[in-house]
Amino acid sequence: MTTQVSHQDVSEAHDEHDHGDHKPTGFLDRWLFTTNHKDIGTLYLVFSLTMFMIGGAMAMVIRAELFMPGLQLVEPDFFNQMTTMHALIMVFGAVMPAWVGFANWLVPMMIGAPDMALPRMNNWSFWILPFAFTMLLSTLFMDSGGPAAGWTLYPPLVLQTGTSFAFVVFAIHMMGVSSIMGSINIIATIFNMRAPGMRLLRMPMFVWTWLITAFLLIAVMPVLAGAVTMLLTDHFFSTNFFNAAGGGDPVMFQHIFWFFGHPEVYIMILPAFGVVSEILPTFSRKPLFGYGSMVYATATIAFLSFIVWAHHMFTVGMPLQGALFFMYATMLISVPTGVKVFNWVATMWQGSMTFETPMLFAIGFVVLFTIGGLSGLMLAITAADFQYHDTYFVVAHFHYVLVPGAVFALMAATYYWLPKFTGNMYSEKWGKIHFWLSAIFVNVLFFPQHYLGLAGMPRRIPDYSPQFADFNMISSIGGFAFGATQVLFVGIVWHCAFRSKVKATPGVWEGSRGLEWTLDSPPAYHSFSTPPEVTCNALSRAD
Amino acid sequence: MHSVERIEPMIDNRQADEIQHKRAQAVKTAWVLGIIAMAIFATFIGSAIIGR
Repeated sequence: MTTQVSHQDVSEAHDEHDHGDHKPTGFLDRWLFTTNHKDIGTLYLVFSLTMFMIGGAMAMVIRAELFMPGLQLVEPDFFNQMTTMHALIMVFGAVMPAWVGFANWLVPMMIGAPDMALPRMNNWSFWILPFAFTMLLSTLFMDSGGPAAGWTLYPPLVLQTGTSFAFVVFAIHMMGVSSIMGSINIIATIFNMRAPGMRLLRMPMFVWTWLITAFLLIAVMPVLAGAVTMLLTDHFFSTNFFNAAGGGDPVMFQHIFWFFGHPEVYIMILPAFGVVSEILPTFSRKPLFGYGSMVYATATIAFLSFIVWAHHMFTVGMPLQGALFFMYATMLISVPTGVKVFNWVATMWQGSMTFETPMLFAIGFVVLFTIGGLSGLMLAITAADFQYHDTYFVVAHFHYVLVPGAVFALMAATYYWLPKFTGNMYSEKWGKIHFWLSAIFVNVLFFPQHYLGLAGMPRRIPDYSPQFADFNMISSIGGFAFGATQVLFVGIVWHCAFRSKVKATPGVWEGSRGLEWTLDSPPAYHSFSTPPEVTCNALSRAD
Repeated sequence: MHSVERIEPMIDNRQADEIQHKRAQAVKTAWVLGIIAMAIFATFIGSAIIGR
């Protein structure tokens, strides 16, 4: 039986035992030594935004060089360093920490916990990251330069990196340690800190997707650590793991790397699925369609992500049976993904929809991520992949998955929960302008790259044949415009946090449901010191 | 007015013990997960060495 009560009633129930706003006063105490999940979440999000700017600046260098044929601005080796660093920073420094930031803010509030289960380790997980990325970026200023073999770090090419390679490997190890500790914390929190009555199948989808993501991270980050450790010993200690001349096998690296690399893609996209599954019901004013099937589809996608890795390396040659297995296993992923897209559409079907900025980004995600998924199906066809492999078609595919996919979901999440985090409303007008400019220019940026790839333009080159000039120019114009649009995003977030005069209500959105919306906006520094008792599905999306 | 589910505070003197118990369980969970992560790391390097 659901009892309807006002927010005030709920707040009074909490406040009786809450410590309220007893936050540290000193700057170092507040930010360097903090164990508070909200502060650490903020640190992650600010760090991620900084990395987005740095990685985005590198993307601008890449698109400026590719604006027209010929070598214009940078040396080829520096261009290769830019493509490699852009990817490493965006994957490990921007998208992943952003999701961990949202997890820190939201998971405890969504499950009714006072904080993460292991708050000191939480602090350590974050503060490793700035050192890791300082070390990684510092390689650009070393004599031997930064890594230039692509983010996949394939030997033997990557072993030509100079002594700076040791810094790259150590930085990747630190990122891995941070991710593993963060994941352990999230799993331990979800398994042990849930409020009474918050059963697993009552949890919000964002919590579910992060639980599965955390298991993926623990399973594959040690694999990456193993791979780069072997690269390190091949480079500096004369081992021959991947050196054919010494009896090693460079293709073995590709197998190990992609056993990590493919689940890594889902590590970046599963939390996005969770966010969209939170936002669409709110602005459709309906419960999520097929909650149970969403949970099982997420788990199925995670499982399948472990058995498809070789579709990244069809062209190295493998037995026909192997190629067929990886092709069909890859295509199988479209089934649970299709379940999700169907459920999102069914959630909106006959809903009382309104189109605030988070909803616009969520719908943009559903449409544009699906385009990325469909080009992924094309790439899964073994015979066709021999044509597409290492072309701009691949670049277009994974950027559709990661930019209007993961990044749009991050923006949707920002607009959706920023009023909760800050207590202020953002400018809806500027939010919508930001969405439409982003949605237009992201397609101008990446859609022509499909044609470039189909016409045979290879990826990771600073110069190209004149026949590719027109589409490259269009893509670069889209890139510059998309980059400039994101400066607008920074301005909107800044204004919301520090300048906005419009205060957010506790519920913020008319259709919002879930424990986090029962707290004040912004929530007290210590929330749910007294666990709420969840007595029915109405607080979750499960009904 | 924002409609939410009824949330009832638990009995206060149970809270500290309850949270302590939850955190103790969480530390055990963390150890298990950490050992699994280290075992995966060792397995991949070990199998690469043995496989040669």
